Amino acid sequence: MMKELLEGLIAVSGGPGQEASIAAAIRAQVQTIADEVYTDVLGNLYAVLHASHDKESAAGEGDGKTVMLVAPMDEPALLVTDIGEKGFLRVEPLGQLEARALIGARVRVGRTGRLGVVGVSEKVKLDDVEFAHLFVDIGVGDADAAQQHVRVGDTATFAYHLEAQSEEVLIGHALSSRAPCAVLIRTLMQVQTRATVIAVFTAQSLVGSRGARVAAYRIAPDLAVAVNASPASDTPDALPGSLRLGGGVAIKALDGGMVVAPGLRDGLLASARAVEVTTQIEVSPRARSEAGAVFLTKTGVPTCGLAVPMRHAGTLSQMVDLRDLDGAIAVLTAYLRDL
Amino acid sequence: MFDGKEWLCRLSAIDGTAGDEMRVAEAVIEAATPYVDETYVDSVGNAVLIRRGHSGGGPRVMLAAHMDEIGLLVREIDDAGFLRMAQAGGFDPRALLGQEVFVHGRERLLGIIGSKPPHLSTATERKKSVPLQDLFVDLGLPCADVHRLVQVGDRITVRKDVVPLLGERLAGKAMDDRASLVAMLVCLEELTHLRCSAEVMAVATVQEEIGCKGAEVAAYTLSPDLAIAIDVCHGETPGISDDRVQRLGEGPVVTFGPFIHPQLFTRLCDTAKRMRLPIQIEVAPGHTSTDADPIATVQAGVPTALVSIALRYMHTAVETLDYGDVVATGQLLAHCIAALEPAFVEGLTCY
Repeated sequence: MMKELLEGLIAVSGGPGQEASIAAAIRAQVQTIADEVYTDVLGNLYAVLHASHDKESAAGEGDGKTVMLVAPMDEPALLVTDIGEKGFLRVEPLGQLEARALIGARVRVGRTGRLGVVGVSEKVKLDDVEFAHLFVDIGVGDADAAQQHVRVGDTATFAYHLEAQSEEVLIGHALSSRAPCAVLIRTLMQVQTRATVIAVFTAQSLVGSRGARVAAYRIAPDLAVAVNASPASDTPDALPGSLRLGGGVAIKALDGGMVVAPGLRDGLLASARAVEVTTQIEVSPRARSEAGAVFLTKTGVPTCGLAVPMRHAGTLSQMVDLRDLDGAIAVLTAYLRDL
Repeated sequence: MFDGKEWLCRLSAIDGTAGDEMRVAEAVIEAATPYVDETYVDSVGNAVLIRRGHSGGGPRVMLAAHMDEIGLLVREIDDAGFLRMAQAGGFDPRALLGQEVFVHGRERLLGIIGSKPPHLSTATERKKSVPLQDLFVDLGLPCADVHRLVQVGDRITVRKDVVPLLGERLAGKAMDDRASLVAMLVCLEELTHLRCSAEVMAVATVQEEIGCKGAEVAAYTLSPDLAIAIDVCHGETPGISDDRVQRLGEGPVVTFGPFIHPQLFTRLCDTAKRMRLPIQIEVAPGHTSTDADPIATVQAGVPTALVSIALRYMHTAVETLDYGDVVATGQLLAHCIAALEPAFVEGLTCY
């Protein structure tokens, strides 16, 4: 079921700033479970579960509290900056992409679905390739023909599918955002809590957590839990880091924009222990999540986080382990229940 | 009669680096007073110009153009009375050599920027441009007078009056972003001829060049229904490929990218089409490095767009533009704002 959900989410294009399609796909998943679903000025999608789900139980700490769950929705993309005379597109990166790693990649224009291939100027040495040397070939002969399929300002995302390497291991180009989104969706489906839960699928995360910032302002939650995918460092010669693929969901201690208060981190760990889920601790100074932006909102929002370990982050073949995702859902569900 | 060109020449020549924009604010308020209902300077120095709509309850629109110019600060006064400089906003050191400057000490002092002559430089030094740390200001005053009149931290601005070139072209300092201030004034003047239900809050912002600070504060305070920032962008220049620049004299440049609200962008383009006004489209991958960036994410978010005026030689004392673009930008803004209907503005909050 998780695999099918991810398959659906990854098939939809959602470059930074152009998240309308992916927001619609997520809306279709949460429409029937949430009490309220809405979008905002920046394109964030909100799914609200009001605090009336478990009236039978005794009053607890979670009563009247609003908890924000937050996961990024946008994926790395190429932004079309110019259409040349012969119909080749010039592009700039949105999100962390390395120019030379994209040579030969297939892309799809989000708005029209037109396929393209990333080409490179042959006058440049591979080591020196920058985005100015790349172009996208959409298979037309001139600029007029190109205008039929693309216009300046469109984003093109990578045109690949979700692939299952085994029962547990999945490979996909946009898992860094869609895996956290899937964790939130599945949690919403099963959670029982006395708190009001607002899941926010954020826009513009890759261009500086802009969606998360305004969403946190709007909700002003009592507590926030950010879910993201963080690089696993269990591959040959990987930069040092604490995460291992399949090693369990990671409880965030630190990332590039956030240090989690020990008390909050321990709360997540306690919930994980209660449901006997294997965990690891995340210390990823080079990774980013939405936690940092949410934390700094208004007078400050107590924020903690879960990370899904991911191999080959920043490439078109990101790899996650379903057991880590299931662990994240279980921990998040238990944590919200225990509030 | 509003003479925008005259005002641009006047505004361009005023000294006003980031944090020291008061003189510009006074001039902007003077220029705008005939066309607005209320003016004030806010807590951080932004000049706010308010023009109310025909009827109450119309959309509240914020315009933002920055008043500050790039400048320099006195970093050190050496024993001989020469001043060493620090950046306050991104001057290209290559363009500073030989410039006349004003040092804003106890009084305004005229100085020149000098450096080691080529004859006395080594062959290696001659191959490189002179870095800022090797440049200095010579005030031509006895050392004791320099110490009496100048202290570390005093501001330095380039001295340059606007040079009219052929046709509508003008060259001068601080066209970035005084040209946009004039576009904003053109817009306010144009609105006096149009029926407009929107309340326009035109803000001449402070401290853009050091991180878009004034605009963020103003947007938070005013909490507008939508905002349009006005700034300059790179005009076509020999040696720069066409896909990275816009053309002078070919109309306002409307920006699109992830930071820009797509419906507001489309509305600006449609307005131009309706007016038969030529425009150019620019794409910003991620940040636009203008006031639009912070405005869009204050509070729960503000639908924000960006209109720019093409300009050559940015961050030098000879920033060159076509005055026709300034007027067209103001007109585009006025006609877009006057035609805003409540349903459209309401729709902006749902993506």
